[in-house]
Amino acid sequence: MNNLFKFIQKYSSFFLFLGFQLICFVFLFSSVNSYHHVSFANSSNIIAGGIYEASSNVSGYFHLSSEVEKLRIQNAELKKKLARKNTLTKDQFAYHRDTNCLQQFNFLNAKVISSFKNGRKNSVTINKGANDKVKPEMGVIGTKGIVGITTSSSEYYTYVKPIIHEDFVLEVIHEKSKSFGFVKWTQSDDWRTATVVDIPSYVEVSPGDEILTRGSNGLFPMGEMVGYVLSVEDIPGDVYLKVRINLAEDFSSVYNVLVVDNVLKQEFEDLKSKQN
Amino acid sequence: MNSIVKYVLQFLVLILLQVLVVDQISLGYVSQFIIPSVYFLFVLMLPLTVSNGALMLLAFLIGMTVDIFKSTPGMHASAMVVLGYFRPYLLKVIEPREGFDVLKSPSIYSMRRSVYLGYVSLAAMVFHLWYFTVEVMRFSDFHMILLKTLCSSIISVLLIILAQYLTVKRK
Repeated sequence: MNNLFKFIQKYSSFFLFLGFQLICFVFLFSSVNSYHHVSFANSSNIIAGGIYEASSNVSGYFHLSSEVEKLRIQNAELKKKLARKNTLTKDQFAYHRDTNCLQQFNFLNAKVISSFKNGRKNSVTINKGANDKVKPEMGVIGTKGIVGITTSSSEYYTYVKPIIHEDFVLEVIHEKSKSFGFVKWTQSDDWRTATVVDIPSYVEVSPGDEILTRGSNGLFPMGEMVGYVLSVEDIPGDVYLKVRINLAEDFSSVYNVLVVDNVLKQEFEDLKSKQN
Repeated sequence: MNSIVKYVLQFLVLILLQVLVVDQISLGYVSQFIIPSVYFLFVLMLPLTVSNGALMLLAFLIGMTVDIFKSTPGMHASAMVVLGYFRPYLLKVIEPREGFDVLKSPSIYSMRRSVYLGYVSLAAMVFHLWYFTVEVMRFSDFHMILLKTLCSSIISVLLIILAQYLTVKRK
């Protein structure tokens, strides 16, 4: 017993080292929804959120003109969609009762106060939180394309898991053929690209084709822009294609974003749980 | 100035420098290889008389603080604890024949320039090697880890030397 104590005393700094590493690895390997991760994210939101917001209040002015330009383009796109809608309803001559329509998606305007794009576990923080009814598991759309999914929120801030995070998975469709697959961020991708897997190899995919959200999990509306096909790799012997895409959203300058609130999400989840 | 206040200030300034300035550096395509860190300078600057336990505790604290800012739980803290554990060995490796002046904390003015450069470079390599290994978590991409470590370490050392000339007072 005495020898054991002597041994521990002799290598005390090494044991201390192991102890600290153990704490680090508990945080590192706990899953995103675990207690450790959530409490870490909450305290992180409180401490880092304020400082990042102060910094973004200053730096926000530097790219104001380019942001305005982006919003203008987005506005024009929306106007185009609206115009198409008007002609359609006039064509039908149908009696249009308001109660027939339910706006399924609400959008909340938010600003990105900090974002990281060079690591493997990147993150984006936005300046809306539980006070604005932002909850975990909501979609976030930028001015050019989708950004990611919220993971945890404090009173005023929310973390977003962007497409450029190694755990990100989302169902998408190839616009031309309507065949669907999953967008993932693999080891060979950097912050401008992602990979779509599970598109069958008989589908004709060519560079430049649009990849859109499928809307299958209720996080995003159907048909939100994800990216454009960059290259297609047909692996011999595999029934699926490996499609490299250019992300539509530019993660080096993401600033104005919309948080998507799906009114029918709960209903959808209930239905899904009844199935299983 | 009271030395505790000095180190607390260093802690805060280095963290703000890291998250508000260094992390915002964007170099286009190469920025996936160059992810510099300067905040580990805090552990390198602690006095030579500080005990191993205190060294690792402070390293863990500053690593965790940076993790809080970057929302990467445990990653920076783990790399910093490794650096804290290896700092005494690094100092032993680069110690000149006449030894160090134990009353001064390591800086570019209290050591010979070449010795200090070796100290910071070795520390940067240890820190980044562990950090990228933990981040990627697989050895099949080992060439990628080495490339990232090398590129990031070179830029980090340059930034640290620059920061030393800007902040530490000549005595």
